[in-house]
Amino acid sequence: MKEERRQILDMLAQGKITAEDAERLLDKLGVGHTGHATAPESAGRGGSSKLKYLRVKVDSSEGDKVNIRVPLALIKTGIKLTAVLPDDVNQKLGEQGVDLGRLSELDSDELYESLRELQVDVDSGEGDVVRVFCE
Amino acid sequence: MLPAMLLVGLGDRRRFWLPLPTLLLWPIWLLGWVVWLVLWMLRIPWRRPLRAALEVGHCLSGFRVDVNTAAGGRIHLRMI
Repeated sequence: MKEERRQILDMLAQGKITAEDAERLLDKLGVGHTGHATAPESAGRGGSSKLKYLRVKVDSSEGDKVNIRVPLALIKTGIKLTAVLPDDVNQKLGEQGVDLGRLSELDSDELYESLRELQVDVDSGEGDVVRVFCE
Repeated sequence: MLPAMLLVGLGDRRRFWLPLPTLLLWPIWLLGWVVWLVLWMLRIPWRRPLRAALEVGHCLSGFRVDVNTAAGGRIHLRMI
């Protein structure tokens, strides 16, 4: 497969075939550029691999860069820490219709499955870029 | 798995890495689990938040924060 791909690229470089021909041939081999583009995507965000981290990346227009990686297990366990909240806080939240106790009843698989689709992309007019995703 | 070390990186061009072994905290974690076990056996409340706090310690491996400022300053926190 690798050899065939190299031959196609060589032929393209030598001008024996056009870019369209090369693309069609690579598609037939199953290694077209679209396949390459989606492979890391499926492995990282949308694939069946198990998610491990919540990533937050910030690139400010002024040049500041922040890269945060939080283990998802920490989020799952952190939810249980709602048990630390004083009773009167839980009571007040309950009056507002918020029941934090339900969070700890969440199935971890469901939580991970929901987070798989999580993707926040912010591009401000000033050039700041914020990305939040799971990998 | 409890993280073995907290790495703190500071500086600008020349980064300074400060390794803080969290291994020293392992006996405290262990003691925490013993306390939790006693609370569980005696059916004493407050074992749930204690357990959650202890579990947080187990999930810290892989936690990482990297900050690079435009001025060249760098701060890194890594639990490994």
